[in-house]
Amino acid sequence: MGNKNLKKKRKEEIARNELVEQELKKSDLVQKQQVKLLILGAGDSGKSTLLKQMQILYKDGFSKEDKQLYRNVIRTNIITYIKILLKGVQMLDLKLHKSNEKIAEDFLNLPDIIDSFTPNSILASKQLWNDPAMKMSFEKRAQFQLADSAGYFLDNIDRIASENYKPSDQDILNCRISTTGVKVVEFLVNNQPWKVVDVGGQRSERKKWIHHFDDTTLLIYVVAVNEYDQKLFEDNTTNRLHESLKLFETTANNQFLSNKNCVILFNKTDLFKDKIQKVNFNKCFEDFKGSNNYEEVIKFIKTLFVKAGKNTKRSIFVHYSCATNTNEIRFVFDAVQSTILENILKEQGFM
Amino acid sequence: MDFQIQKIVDLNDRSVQIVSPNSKQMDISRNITPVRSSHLLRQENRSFSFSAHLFNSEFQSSRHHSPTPNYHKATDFSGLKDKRVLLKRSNMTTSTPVKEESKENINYNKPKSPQNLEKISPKKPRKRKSEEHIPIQKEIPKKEPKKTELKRHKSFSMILNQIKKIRTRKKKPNEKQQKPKRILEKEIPKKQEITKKILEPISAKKTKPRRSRKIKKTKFQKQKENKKKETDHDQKEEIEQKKRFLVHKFDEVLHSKFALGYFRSFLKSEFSDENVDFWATVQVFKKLNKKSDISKMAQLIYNKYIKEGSQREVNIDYLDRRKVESVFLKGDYDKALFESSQDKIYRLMETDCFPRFLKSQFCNDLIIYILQNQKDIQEEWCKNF
Repeated sequence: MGNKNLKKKRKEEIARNELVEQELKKSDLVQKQQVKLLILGAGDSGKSTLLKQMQILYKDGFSKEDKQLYRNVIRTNIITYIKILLKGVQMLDLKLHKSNEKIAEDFLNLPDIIDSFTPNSILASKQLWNDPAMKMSFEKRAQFQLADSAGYFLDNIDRIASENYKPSDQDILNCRISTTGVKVVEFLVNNQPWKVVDVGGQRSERKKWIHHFDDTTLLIYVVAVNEYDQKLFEDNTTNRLHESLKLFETTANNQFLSNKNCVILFNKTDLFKDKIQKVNFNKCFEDFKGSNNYEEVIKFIKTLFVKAGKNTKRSIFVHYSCATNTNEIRFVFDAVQSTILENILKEQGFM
Repeated sequence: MDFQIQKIVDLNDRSVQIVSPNSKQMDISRNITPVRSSHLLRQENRSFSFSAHLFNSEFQSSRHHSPTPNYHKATDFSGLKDKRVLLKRSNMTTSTPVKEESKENINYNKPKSPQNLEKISPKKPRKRKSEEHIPIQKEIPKKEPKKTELKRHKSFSMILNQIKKIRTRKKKPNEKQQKPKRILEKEIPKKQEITKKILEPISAKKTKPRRSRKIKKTKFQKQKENKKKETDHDQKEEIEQKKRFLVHKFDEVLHSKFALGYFRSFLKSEFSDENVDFWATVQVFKKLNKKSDISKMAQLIYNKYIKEGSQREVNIDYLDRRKVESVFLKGDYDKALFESSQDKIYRLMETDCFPRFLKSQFCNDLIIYILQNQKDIQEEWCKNF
């Protein structure tokens, strides 16, 4: 009797085992089919902007609630930008126009809340922005921490201040919201499930990256090339491009990512083109001995990064883009798709 | 010597079971996984431990109830591979007895005619051709041992090829007459029952109704489903309405006792819960009155959240960090010490995390909780919910 029961049990166990294995196989298949993109890079390099572009390209854009949120964020950002510029004016010992001094004092006392964006504050910020001293401090913004999109929004202040203002896609793409933690967004790209991981880029955020290193199909590393004369947000002493290069070297050679294909995206090329005419690249990278020319400088940066990540097990693709330009990013993601296809074919042994 | 052989065969059994036909690759991969660092591969590890548990139970049962006594002969029937493994594993000492067995077999079987054997088991001798002992084909044991061997064969094949045979049996009706298949037939309903039990939550729709009851049930079901759909739809709309209400209630959520828990668990899923913790501890810090307490708490907060490279470092810019550090050098602790950095973190959560929280499942749970317990909640912001 006992034997029969035990035999039954055993059969049950076998059947259960079979079922569990089938399910595991299914989940394995799903995992294998799923493409996982890791978007990494130093702070303020444009990783989240890439994600926004994907939202436009592969989903149905931004919802009403999103736009409402971005509207508030853009408006509060304008006030913080003006504040930072005013502090810059103080730091550089510049002198505002006499009529603007009082306004500036009031302005510095405003809190960073949406409610402080009143008609009065709009007028004040407009007046201040037209002050030559403010423009001077804006020119020397590399000495303090000002977001790259500040110029774009301050130039469009009239439109943003209007009551019926609805942020356009371009506004949203330019809007800066610093990311904390790790966010995972899923897309359907040509009937293929993509899992895109966006992270915060500051030093304190980087230790969270490792939670998502496994099972990546492709690493996208974003570098803001225009920040070669800027200092880090975290300590204001190290050069941002140096930091980015070091970071790339350590992450790309991490044991989990060392054999994954990699796309390096040189971002903010439009701002870089403007800056290279004003600021000498040689000041920041003493090894550079070419002429101060867009193409030569970018070639130099490219060789630096490719050298840092070079490895026999993988190939590195390089793209130049401006993340706020949807067409350029579409091109980049088309290229990314083809590399992913190549990956899959290689895994299956077709290539 | 016999004892040794049994042990080895036991090992063999297990290896065969582990590498059962469906699971070859996966098992091997899973056995290798622990080499990688464990905490990074959480999902895989979960599945690993789960399946390992099942396997273990199988092992135990196989140890106790598998047909242990007659291994040598059984191994003969299970084909070449086992023998090879045997030879490899057992090296010189154990390989000798196996050879002896085969010799014995040869002696017994010489008088018997080879034709009968070929009829009963035509495939097995073919395998032996490739072996060194060619004569085995002609000389095979008597009828009595054959039956026992057949049973043993069943037990092994059941473990090895059960699933395959069941599948093939359905296609080939001729095989029904034979013994081993009858046994297997009995197993099928049991299996299905088991699958029902296990899969009920997953594939309840497929297995549930019989044809005769279907017609009656479908009407009820349709009504029920429609009701369910309506209620679901209503609930969804309600939840979305409440979400619009919640959009401007970030401050209230942070200050309420129960909602903060939901928000924090969401942040934990995104690995950014240190922000809320920092905000909350500074909130406590602000309420302190004793100077000694303030200095202690300030040092705690600094070491935990602000110091560069600390474990739960918060994302603040150099200006705020410098401010705090300069105060620390002087030793004057103030209640407003962390105010500016707290504001920054507050803004960060408001703009970055909170909108994502509203889209997450955690927010749905929060809304459902509030709707269910609206009477018990005493916080004011929920009264107009």
